[in-house]
Amino acid sequence: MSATIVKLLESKNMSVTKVSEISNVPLSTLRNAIVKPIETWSIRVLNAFAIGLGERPGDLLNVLEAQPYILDINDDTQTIQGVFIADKETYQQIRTVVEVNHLEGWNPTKSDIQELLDEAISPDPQVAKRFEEVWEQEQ
Amino acid sequence: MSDWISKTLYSNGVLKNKLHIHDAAELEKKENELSARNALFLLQKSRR
Repeated sequence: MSATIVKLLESKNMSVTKVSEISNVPLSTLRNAIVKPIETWSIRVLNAFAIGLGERPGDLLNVLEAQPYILDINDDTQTIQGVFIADKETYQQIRTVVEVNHLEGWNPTKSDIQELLDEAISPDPQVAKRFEEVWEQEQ
Repeated sequence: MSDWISKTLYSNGVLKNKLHIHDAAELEKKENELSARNALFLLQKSRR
């Protein structure tokens, strides 16, 4: 069942019945479609929901289709998730951190990589302070 | 035997944490971000 279309309809106070009325697509057709994977929807059904939600069909399709996650690391261009890291050493450090945490289940986004890069360029003194405190306790 | 594990969890089953985050997905995201940040700090420190 496409849970996302149900949520989208709810968020816009729109019912399947209303969509059917607005789009002139039979209610039974829409109800049948809503319980099936989006890949099986006809363009007519997609258009109907798009009209009901006030969206363009292409935009609605982008929202509804689950985007597969890809960890994009490119050594040639020194980019991670499309973020260019100019300094080779910093690139390797961030790459290591990303790969290790990816194995633990982290799926970093472009903004996550950008934040790591910002952290590498200008480290937060609070992080250093926290580690110093721990190390002092150890000694 | 006491139910010690329940003392470590919020009522919705999420592990009690210093950030007081009750949403499991949000906590996981934050945990990943923080461990990446800390690991990066340690890597940079070891190279200096």
